[in-house]
Amino acid sequence: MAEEVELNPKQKKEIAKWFLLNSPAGEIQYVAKDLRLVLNDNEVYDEAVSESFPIYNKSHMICLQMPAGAGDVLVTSFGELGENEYLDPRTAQVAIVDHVKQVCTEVRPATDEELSSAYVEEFRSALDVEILKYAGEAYPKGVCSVYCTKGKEVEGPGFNFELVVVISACRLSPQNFCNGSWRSVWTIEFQDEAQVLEVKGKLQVGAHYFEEGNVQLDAKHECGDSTLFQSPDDSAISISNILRHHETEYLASLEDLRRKLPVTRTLFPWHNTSQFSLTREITKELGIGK
Amino acid sequence: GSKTAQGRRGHLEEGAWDAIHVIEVAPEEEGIARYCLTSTVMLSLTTDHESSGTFSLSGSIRRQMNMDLSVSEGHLCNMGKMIEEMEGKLRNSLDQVYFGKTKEMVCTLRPPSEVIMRLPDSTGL
Repeated sequence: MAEEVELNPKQKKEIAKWFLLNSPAGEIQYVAKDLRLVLNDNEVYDEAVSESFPIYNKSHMICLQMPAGAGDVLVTSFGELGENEYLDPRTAQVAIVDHVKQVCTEVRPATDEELSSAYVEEFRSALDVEILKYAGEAYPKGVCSVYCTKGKEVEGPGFNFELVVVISACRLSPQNFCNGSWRSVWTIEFQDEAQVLEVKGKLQVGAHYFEEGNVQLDAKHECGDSTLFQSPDDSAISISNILRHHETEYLASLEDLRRKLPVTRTLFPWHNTSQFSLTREITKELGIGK
Repeated sequence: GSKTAQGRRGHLEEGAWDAIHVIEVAPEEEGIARYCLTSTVMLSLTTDHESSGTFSLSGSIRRQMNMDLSVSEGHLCNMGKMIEEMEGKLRNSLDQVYFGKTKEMVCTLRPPSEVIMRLPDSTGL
């Protein structure tokens, strides 16, 4: 038998990071708690969590409460200003975040350089209003935000810019052994010359059920559409209609996928004569006396 | 028992059913044996369809069953029937859990449009 070799700290850290990054929605803290015991090495543990949590938080687009009733902030790569700083465009505030504890520790107002120009902001805030309406209706536990990811300094017509809509909803019910999440990321390219808006969506649904078992769903979908470049209010309405249409269609297709597994109606005839000879064969082969 | 499948028509791209059954047999009274069956089924389904993107559903379920049975027909007969019954129950549980629970979760995250109209104002759910 091969000699057991203990893994070096770097290898242990990589394995720990894999588990952390692959935790289902809402479960990374449970996984981290177990890993701390398994690793039994605080240095490796600390490195693994400090490297994994920021990636996990941004990928899952977690929602944190800002202190003193300042509202909610989504932790996303689109709003990332610094390693622990995340912009909330709606309230023009920047949240300082502790990734491992998954809390917002401080809030400060955003500087002018961190916000979009007045011209782009007209489009961004109009879209934000429509998306808030849509997400409020469609997602009981949804949180949304609209970011400007390209061209935030554009002062007027003649240049392109890009907005990103993020919708994040999760239903965490660990007492019922069940957690799930819905994430939508919609990228809208405002193309000035062609006077069109190119819309690209990435939807991701996850569910984890672990009572008397362990079942995970991971479903992804990409789609696209386009519409005319109109005024901020009209563009916002067109875009939110596109989102609503595609997301509703995707939801319907997910339910269609519920195909019944095949059912065989005939039971195996355990009692027939071949069974007796099978027993005889096995008894003979195993050399068991009767 | 293990079975893998590749779908040609329809949406299923790849499916795998792996079942492990462990039976403990102990003599009870004269002519009767106690059978303790622990079964684990690991199921994995993936689809990759243009209109619906990628869909991956996988995991495992474990159940136990105890029975005291006469040995007059032999052990094979008893064990065979238990395993068959167990696999039937597991298949139904899987249907409820895999599809039922995950569908329930998706509907909670984002209720279908008809349901939204009828949702009460109070935060019931």
